[in-house]
Amino acid sequence: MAEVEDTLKRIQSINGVIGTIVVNAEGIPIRSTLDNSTSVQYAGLLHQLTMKARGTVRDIDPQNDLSFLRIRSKKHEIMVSTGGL
Amino acid sequence: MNEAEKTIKRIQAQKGVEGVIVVNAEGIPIESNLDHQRTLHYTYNFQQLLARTQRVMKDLDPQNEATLLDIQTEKNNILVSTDKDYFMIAMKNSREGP
Repeated sequence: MAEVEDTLKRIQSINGVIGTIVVNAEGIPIRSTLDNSTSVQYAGLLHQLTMKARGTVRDIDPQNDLSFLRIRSKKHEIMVSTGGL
Repeated sequence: MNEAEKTIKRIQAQKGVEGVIVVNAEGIPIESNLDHQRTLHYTYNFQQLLARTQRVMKDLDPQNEATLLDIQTEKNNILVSTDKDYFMIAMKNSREGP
């Protein structure tokens, strides 16, 4: 568990990182550097979107799988690492 | 060849790039170096994903919107770039090129 905390701290300390959220398989944030309502909102929406992206990838090639998703927007960038989930 | 076509050709010529599709505001692929079936399949699928992504971004912040979707998979890398009405899909083999 300490390793997870250390990794989160390291990511959060990178210049430009606004927030870091760890989300479980149900789309619930289990660790976050942001406030609760923001975490729940981001976790829920991005969990669903990630599932959709994975579905799209598998639709095109059933042998393939999603490993990382990056959404660049006008204001910032959201990075989702699926880590086998 | 106009500026747009030159840019598309340049991207298609990049090492590792397997396919480039440009889709217009009506959702019709106007440029592609893949076969017709694959072009339509990719266009449909990524248009849906892009639309979903934009809804998520608007939900999070009504003043914001996605400009690029970078999908990294085990086999390759798919980039969906959007601006105003058009969007472009580029498929890159992750083992080659930049």
